[in-house]
Amino acid sequence: MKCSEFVQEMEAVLDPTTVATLRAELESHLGKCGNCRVVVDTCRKTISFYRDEELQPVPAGLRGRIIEALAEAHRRKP
Amino acid sequence: MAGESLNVQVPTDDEMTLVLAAQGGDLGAFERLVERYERRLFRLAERITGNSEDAEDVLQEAFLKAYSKLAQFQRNSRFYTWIVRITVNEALMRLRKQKTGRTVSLDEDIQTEDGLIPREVEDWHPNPEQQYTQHEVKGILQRAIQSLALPYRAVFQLRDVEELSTEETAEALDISVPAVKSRLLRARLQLREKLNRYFKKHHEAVSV
Repeated sequence: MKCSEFVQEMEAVLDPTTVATLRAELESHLGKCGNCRVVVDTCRKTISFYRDEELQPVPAGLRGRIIEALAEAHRRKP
Repeated sequence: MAGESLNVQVPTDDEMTLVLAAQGGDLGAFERLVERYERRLFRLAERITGNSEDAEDVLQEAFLKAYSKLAQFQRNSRFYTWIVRITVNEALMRLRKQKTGRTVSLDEDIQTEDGLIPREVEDWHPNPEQQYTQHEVKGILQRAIQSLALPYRAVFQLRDVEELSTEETAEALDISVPAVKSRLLRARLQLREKLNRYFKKHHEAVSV
């Protein structure tokens, strides 16, 4: 397997549902290729950075405005 | 990891109960759904529009539209996926209004090799917080994702951040499953490349 082929299939490395045969082929390439190991590892870190970002509260007053607009829509419903 | 279902982070056990109550006219039940999803949907709207003022309007319009169309919601899909799709559409509509004459679409043909072959391959510092303040890291992440083309940004946000499945992401964005997979790969590689400048091991901290 070439690095360019590995990159095309990289989604499968990051996906735990990948079938065993493909996973074995990809892991075999990773075992021999330091560059692809770094790419996979830094992609994992990239995903983690964004996934682990703490959710911030919505701006002050926004929920109140939404609830108010919904109440108005509710009153107008036939 | 990346293939896990959204169910891990967003409890769905009583989502359908709330939806059914809201469909029966219980406004309080719908307000519970607002409380549950407002932060995630606000972040999504902010990532698509690029600013919080537009995201506020998008969120309000999305919830209003969802409420008015609640009777049309088909219970064979999840409410969260449905309202994500409404929020994405509202955000795109807002962008189109602002960029008259310019195309704002998730269907752009963006199949190029750009960003597919990693240019720089170097491991990252194990703890970027030692290089940058928390505030600086947040700014780096924000600028990097906002610099992605919209079709990539939207797929990355739904698939990798909100943890929708590939199929749910395709449904929410109204694109094919292969398009989700292809764009996700490119989004991840491009983001990695952008962050590499700041987080690679053998480099002094870049001014941010």
